[in-house]
Parts: sequence; C-alpha cells; structure tokens
Amino acid sequence: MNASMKSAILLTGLLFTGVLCAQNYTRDAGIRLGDYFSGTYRQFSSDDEAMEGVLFVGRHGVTISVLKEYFSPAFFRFSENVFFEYGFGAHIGFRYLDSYKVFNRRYVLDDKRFTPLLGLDGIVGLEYRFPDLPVTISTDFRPYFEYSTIQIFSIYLKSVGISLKYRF
Amino acid sequence: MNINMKRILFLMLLAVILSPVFSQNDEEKTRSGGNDEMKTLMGKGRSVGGYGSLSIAYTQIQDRDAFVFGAKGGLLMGHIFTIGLGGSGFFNDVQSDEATGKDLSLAGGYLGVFFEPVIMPKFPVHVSFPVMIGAGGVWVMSVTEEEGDWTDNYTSEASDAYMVIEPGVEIELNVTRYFRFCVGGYYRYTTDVDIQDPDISVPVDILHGFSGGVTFKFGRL
Repeated sequence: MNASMKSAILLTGLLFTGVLCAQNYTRDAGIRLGDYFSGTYRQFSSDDEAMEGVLFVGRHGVTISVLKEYFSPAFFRFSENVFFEYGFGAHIGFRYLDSYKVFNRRYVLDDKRFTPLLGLDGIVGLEYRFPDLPVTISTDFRPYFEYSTIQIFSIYLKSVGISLKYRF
Repeated sequence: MNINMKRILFLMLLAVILSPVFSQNDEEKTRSGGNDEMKTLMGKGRSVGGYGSLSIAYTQIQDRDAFVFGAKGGLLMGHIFTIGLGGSGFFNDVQSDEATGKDLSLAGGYLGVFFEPVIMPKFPVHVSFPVMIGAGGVWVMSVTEEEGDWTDNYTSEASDAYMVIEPGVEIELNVTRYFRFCVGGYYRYTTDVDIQDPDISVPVDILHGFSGGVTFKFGRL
C-alpha cells in the first residue's frame, strides 16, 4: 500500500470517527418521582430524538408507556446542557379499584373491580444533562387520557415529576 | 496506486463529505417549509403533524347544567385532515328525585375515533369540522354528602350503554406553531338510552343535545 492510499484510508477513517463521536449519548435509565413512582428506560436514536419506556406504579394499578420524545436546546445562551423535551405516546395497563374521583365527586363501586387500560400520553419538560457526570435530571408534565371498562373515559392532569437518570 | 483505485477512493471520499451537506439542505428545506410556511399569530410554522388536545364544554342534560370534558390525540395529515382517538366524560347537576326520594345525577363518558377536516389551516384564524364516532356508558348516580368533606359519594343506581356520533364546528386560532385555541359548537346524538329501573324516569334521548366550549390543541400543527 503506497502513501497516498494510506492517506486516503486515514482520511476516510477520520470522517467516520467524527460521525461515531457525535453519537456519544445513546441511552439512559432511572426513576421518576412525583405524583407516583415510575421506572424509565430511554433509547436515543439521534441527538434530538429518543424512545422512552416507562413502568408506572400507582393509582391502584400498573401501566407501561412507550413515548416518542424530541429534544431541542433551551436557554442556549446560558447553558448548553439544558434541553426542552416534548413528545407523545401510548400506554396499556390495568387497575383494581373500588372507587374513583372526578373533581370533587367520588364514584363508589359495589366491590373492587379489575379494568384493563388503554391510553394516549403527552410529555413536556426540561432536562439538564450534567456535562461531567453520566447523570441527567429533568422535570416534566405528562398529561394523559385513557379508556377503561369502569370509568369509560378519564383524563389525568396531575402527573408532574422529577426524574433522575443514569447515562450509559 | 492505479487510476481506477484513485477514482474509487475519490468517489468514496466525495460521497462521505457530501452526504451531510445534502442532509443539511433537506433539513433546511423541511424546517423552513419553503413557500408552504404556516401563518401563525406568533412564531413560524412547521409542516409535520400530530396533536393532543384538551377541551371543556357546557351542555344541558335532562334540562340541567352539565359539563363535558374531553381529550383527543390525532395524526394531522398535510395540515388539512386529522384522524385520531378521543373521548369525553360528562356529569350534570344533582337534583332531588321525587319518585326515589334520592338526590340523583347523570354521569358517564364515551370514546371513539374522530375525523377532522380543516379548512384553510395556514390562516391564523380558520375553521375545522370534527366528527367523533364511538360508544359509551351513562349512569344514574345517587349522591350522599360526606360531612366535613368537600367530596360527595356517588353510587350507581342504574346504567346503560349507547353508540354516539358527535359532529361539530370549531373556529381555530393558530397562536403558535405548537398551540391552537379553538371555540366550538357540537351536537351529540346517541342511540336510545334504556335505563331499566321502574323508579327512575329517563327519556331515551336524554343525551341528545348541543354543547359549546373551548379546546386547547398542543403539538406539531
């Protein structure tokens, strides 16, 4: 292999290295505390897009959500590590309950009943990615609505939380 | 190195260098939207679609004040047509019933798919025609007040299921690229509601009626 060929291969290698270096943030996992407890795992497909899986425990049941999330720099003049996040998704799960509330009305059932759930979710929030630590902290608002056999249709607007995630 | 090998290496390098450049052009075209840019009250537009919405409306059920609160999530195609899933919950005022001697209220909900053509979506103020088709349930609830508590207890006395279609018209304001405020009027038409309790008198068309309210839409509009 002569010198010019080596140079060309080296140059090509360097270009691909740049592409690989840009993809240095690929996934994280952590917990979300707020109205209830959630465990989350997030897989980035690019610098500004990710899919997040959320295991939610609370409200007399368990749900699993899958969210498509988008990120854009927020307050870029002050910090490069703060991101505005927004997205949408869906969830399935179940509840086992004997009453539910709508505003100040408590609807009481005859006995405890099981209901499957299917819902659509939204998410909007702010995220800070620590530059020197593999840690992310964020706060978000996740409104959702869902269908169930007991309540038929419900909207939940109290899901505000703080997440702590480990990047790897 | 022979000439063919040099050509191959040159083309490889050219492809690697130019591909991000072309990507950038495509991205810029997508972001700017070209001449197809959305006209909003504040900020610039974006061409891909999908939104979630929350709404609240006033209506009358059984000649009593009632509120309908709803939510939707949909895919917006070409700014002019949305298809998605949605639902609404409702309840009316509590009123004493002479036959049963109880305080009664109607409550329920419905869910389904919705279709929404939008007329002139790029204008700051425009019109859409949402139609929801689905099914739901309604309950006649008796109310017992909890002393010293703001929350009252509601217990089901009777219920029935129904199918529903709800066409409407909304005046939409493009406040930003990501937010629309809508004022709308709707008509709710259901199959017959058959409450099988001899003590409770509920007309079969109890849920038919007009409603009017506001909707907040968030997303890529």
